[in-house]
Amino acid sequence: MAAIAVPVAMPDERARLRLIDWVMTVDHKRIGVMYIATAIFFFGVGGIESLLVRTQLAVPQNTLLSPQAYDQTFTLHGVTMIFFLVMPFLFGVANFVLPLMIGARDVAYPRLNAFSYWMLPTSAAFLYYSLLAGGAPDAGWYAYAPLTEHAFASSNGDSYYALALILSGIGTIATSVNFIVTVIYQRAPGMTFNRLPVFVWMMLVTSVLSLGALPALTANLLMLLVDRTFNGHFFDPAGGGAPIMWQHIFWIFGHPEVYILALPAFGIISEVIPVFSRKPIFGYSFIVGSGIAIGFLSFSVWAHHMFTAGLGNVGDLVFAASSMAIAVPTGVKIFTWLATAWGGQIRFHTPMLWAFGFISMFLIGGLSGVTLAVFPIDWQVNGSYYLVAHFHYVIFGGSAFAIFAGWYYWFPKMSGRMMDERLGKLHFWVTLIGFNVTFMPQHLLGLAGMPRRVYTYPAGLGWDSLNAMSTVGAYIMGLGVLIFVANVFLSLRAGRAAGDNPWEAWTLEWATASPPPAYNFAAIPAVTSRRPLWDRAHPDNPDPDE
Amino acid sequence: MWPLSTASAQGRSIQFLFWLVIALALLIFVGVIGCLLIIIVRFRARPGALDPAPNYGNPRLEIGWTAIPVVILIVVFVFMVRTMNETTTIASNAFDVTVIGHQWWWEFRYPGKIVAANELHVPAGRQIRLSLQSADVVHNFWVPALNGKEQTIPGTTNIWTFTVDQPGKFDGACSEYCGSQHGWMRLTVVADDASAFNSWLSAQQAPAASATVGAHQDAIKLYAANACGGCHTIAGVSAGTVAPDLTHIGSRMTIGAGVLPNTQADMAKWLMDPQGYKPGSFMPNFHFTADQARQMAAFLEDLK
Repeated sequence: MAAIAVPVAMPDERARLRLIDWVMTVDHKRIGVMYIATAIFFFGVGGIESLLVRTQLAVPQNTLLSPQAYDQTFTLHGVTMIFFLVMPFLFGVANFVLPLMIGARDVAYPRLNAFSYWMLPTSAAFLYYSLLAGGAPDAGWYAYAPLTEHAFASSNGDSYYALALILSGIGTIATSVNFIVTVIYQRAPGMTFNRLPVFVWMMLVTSVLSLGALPALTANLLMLLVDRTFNGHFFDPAGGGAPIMWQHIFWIFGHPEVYILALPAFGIISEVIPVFSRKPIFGYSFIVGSGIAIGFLSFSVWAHHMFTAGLGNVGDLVFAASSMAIAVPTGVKIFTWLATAWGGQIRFHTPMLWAFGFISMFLIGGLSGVTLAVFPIDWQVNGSYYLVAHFHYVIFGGSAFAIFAGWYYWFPKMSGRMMDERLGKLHFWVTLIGFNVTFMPQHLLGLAGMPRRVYTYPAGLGWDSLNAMSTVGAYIMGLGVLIFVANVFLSLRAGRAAGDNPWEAWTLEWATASPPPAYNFAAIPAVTSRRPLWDRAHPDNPDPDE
Repeated sequence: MWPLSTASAQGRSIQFLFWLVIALALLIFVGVIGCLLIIIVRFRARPGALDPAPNYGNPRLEIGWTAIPVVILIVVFVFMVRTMNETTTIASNAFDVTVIGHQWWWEFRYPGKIVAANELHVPAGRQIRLSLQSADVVHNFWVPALNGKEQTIPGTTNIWTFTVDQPGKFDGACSEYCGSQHGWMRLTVVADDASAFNSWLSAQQAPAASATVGAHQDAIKLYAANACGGCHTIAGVSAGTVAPDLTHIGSRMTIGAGVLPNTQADMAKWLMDPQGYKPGSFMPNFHFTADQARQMAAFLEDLK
C-alpha cells in the first residue's frame, strides 16, 4: 500500500506569520491555536482569582478582600474557568485535531469557524469590562434568581454576565453545528463511523449536547435581562414569577454543560492511553456506546442540583435514579482504560502521566458524585465545601488533567517541537501534589459544616487548619503553572524537532508534517481500519474492525 | 459532629447511608487504584520490546463490569428509599415553627405570635416541623448535627423536619449564597427539655418588661430619636418588621447572626460600627458616641 505522501512545507509558510494573518484566518489549525492560546491566558486570570479566594480564606476573619470584592472574585473565577478556559481549550484542540483525524482539509464551514472563535474574546471583553463599569457580576457562576433581580443588585455586573454568556453561547452553538456537519460529511474514504477515533466520537456527542443545552442557557439569560432591564417578573414572585424556574432551566443547561467539559476530556484520554500502552483501545464499541449513553442521560439528571429545593420525594427519587444510572457508563470508561493499559508496554512520557493522573483524580470526583446522587447525603453536603471539592476533582482533576495530557500529546504536532520531558514531569508531580493538598481537605471542611461562597468564617469551629492547608496547596498549584509556562516558552524557542509522529501513534493527524501544511494532506488518505498508520506499518497484519 | 455522630433520628439515618456509600466507594477506589499500581509496576515498557499483541475487547467482561455496578447501585437505592422515608415522614404531634430567611438573618415565628431571631429554641424529643419561607432571595437552612438542608424560596413554603434526641445546642448556617453577608448568616438550635422549653415560650410571649423600659429612659429616647423602631420590634415599644425582633435580645448568644458574641461590651461595639463588623448588612451606622452606645447596650442586654 502506498505511503501517505508527506509534502515538504513551502518556503513562505516557514516565514513568520503577521498578526493580520491570524486575525483573518479561516484555517482550522490556526483557529485551534487561537482558542488554545486564549484559554491559557484565561487560565492565568482564573488562577489569580482562585489565589485571591484562597488567600482570603487562609485564616479566619481575614481582611484581604471585602465581601463585595470576594463575591465578584469567586463569580469571575467560576465563569472564567468554565467558559474561558476549559471549553475554549477543548474546542480548540478539537478544531485543530478533528479534521486531521478524519482525513479532511478543514471543517465544513471555515468562516463560521472563525466567527465562532471571535465570539470568545468578545464575550470575555464584555464580562471583564464590567469591572470598569460599576462592578463585576457577584451572584456566582450559576446566578440564582431572585438574587440577580435588580432589587438585589449592587451593579450591572450580572447584566454583563448575561450578555457575555449569550455571546459565547452563540459561538459554541455555531462550532457544534460545524463539527457535526464536518464529521458526517468530510470523512476520508474508508473512514466509517465504526473507524472514527474515540476523540472524534466524543466531540460529536459533545456537539449534540451543546445544541441541546446552550439554547436553554440563552433563554434563561434573556429572561433575566428582561427582568433586570425592562422590569419583567419572570423570576420575581411578587409579579407572578418563579425563582425555581431559573434553577430548572439553568441546570437543564448546566448539567449537560459539565458533560461538555468532560466528554472531550474522555476522548483525549482515549487517544493517549492506547498510544502509550502500545495497544489499541479495549472494547471500542463499549467506550463509544458509553459516551453516547452519557450524552442521552445527561439531559435527564439536572434536578440533582436541586435536591434541596423542595421538589418532593417523587421528584428526588427520579433524579437520583438517573444520576446513579449515569455513573454506570462512566465506570465503563474507567475500566476500559485500565483494560487498555493492562498487558501493554507502558511508556511513561508526560502525556501518559497526566492520563493516569486523570484516571485517579476523576475517579475520586466521580465517586463523590455518586454520594451526591444519593439525595439524603446531598441534603447534608450540598452548598458546602464537600461540593466544591467534588466539582474541582472532576473539572480540574478530570478536564484540566486531560487538557494537559492533550497539550503534551499534540503540542509536537501543532508546533513541530517537543515539550521538555523533565519540566513536563516536574509540572505533573507539582500539580498532582498541589491539587490534592488544595482540594482533599475541602471534603472534610464540607462535612464539618463549612458552607461554600463565604468570604470568611469564625475561628474555632475546626475549620482553621484545613483552610490553611488548602491555601498552601493552591500556591503549590500556582508553582506548577509557572513551571508549565516556562516549559512552553522554552520549548517553542528551542524544543527538540518533533518529526511527523514522535509518539508512534496510529491516527491520521500523525500522517502529515508537524505542523501540518495549510492543506493538511497532499492526497486525502484512504482509510482501512481504526489505526490507519498501524495498517501502513503492518500491511500483513492490519487492524480488524471488531 | 456529623458524620461521626449526630443528635437526631433523621441525622442518624443519613449518617448510616453516608457511611454505607463511602464504604462501597472506598472498595471501588482501592480496586481501581490497585489495578493502576499493578499496571505501573508490571507493564512498564522494557527497552527494545515489541508492541504487545492487541486485545480488542472481551464482551463478557464488559457486560460484567456494566452489570455489577448496576446491581450495587440498586442496593444503594433501596437503602436510600428507607432513609428518605425516615427523614421526610411528618409526625402527627409535630411542633410547628415558621422560618423566614432574610438577608442576612433568620426569623422564627412560633404559635402564639412569638417572634425570635437567629436562635431556634425547640423542645427535645418531639418532631419539629419547619415551614421554610423567604422574605427576599433563596437561602438554605442547615444544621448539620440534626438533618440535611432545605432551601427557603420566596413565594413558596418548603416543609422540613428534625427530632432532637437530647437537650443541647447545635450550630447551623445558611448554605445558599444569598449576597455579601451570606457568610454571617449563622444560626443556633437550642433544644430544651419540655419544662425548660415551656418556660422559654412564656418568657418570649411577654412584652418588654415595663420595669426594664422604665430603668432605661435615656436609651428609649435614643431609640425613638434614631427611629430604631422603623426596622426593629420591641414588643410594647415599637413594631418594625424588617430587622430582627429585639424584645428578648438580652437572652440571645450572638449578635448579627453570629458575627459577635452577645455581651454588653460587644453590643456597644456593634452599635458604634455595624458596618465594620458586617459590611453590607442593612443596619446603618448611627454615629453613636461611646456613652450613647453604652446606654443602648445596657438597655438591650436587660431585655431578657
